[in-house]
Amino acid sequence: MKKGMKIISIDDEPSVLKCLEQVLRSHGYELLVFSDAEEGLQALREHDDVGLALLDIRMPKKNGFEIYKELRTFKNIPVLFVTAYPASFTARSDDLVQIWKREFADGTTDIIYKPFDVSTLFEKVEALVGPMED
Amino acid sequence: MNREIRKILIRHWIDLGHLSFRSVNGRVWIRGELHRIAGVQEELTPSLVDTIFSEMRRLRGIVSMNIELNNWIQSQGGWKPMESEDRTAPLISPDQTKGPRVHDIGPG
Repeated sequence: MKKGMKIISIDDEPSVLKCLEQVLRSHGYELLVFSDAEEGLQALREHDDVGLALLDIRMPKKNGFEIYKELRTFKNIPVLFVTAYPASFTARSDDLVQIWKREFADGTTDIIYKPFDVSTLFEKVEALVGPMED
Repeated sequence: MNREIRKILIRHWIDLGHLSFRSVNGRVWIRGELHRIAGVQEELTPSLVDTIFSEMRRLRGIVSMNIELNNWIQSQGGWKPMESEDRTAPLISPDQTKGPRVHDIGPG
């Protein structure tokens, strides 16, 4: 993965976006942040060079799983779900079970729970997109 | 390699949010806690844990695996769940204090 790889993050909490922006940019990633799901999806459509999407789950208008399903219809890039709610991932949800079996099974999706330490974030990002090269 | 490891974890309904792993030149490090996602009826058993890591060891290119779990321990050649008094601070948890952190703000 080349330095300056583009990441799109969609989260309705601006302070989380700001924090992600700071830490990922400091490590050479180019981060585009969106607090509006539709705007984020539009950016995912428009930018061919995006290497990773960071998706919050609980958001107004459109949740992270809906964004994920829509994203998968036009682009197959790694996705890291960033959420404070582990309970979002439950086999009691038919929707989640379907996504888990159909989409997660290809091994390009990961999960990180808030709050998290930065080293874990980088570990997960690098495991999804490969280590940073100059 | 990371993708193949993730595929195995997904196949066994493991909650990826409690685990972290990396691989370099066939050497794999896994840390955190091994849980299934909520709502999966069959709980993890020692033999299932053994199966998961055996599948990983059989992946092409794996040279070694370093597994540090906070809730399972290797004992006498097998895996066993850690008793609560044996457990150290979680490797990936809200209580972890090392390094800067992204805090739980907003509805998430």
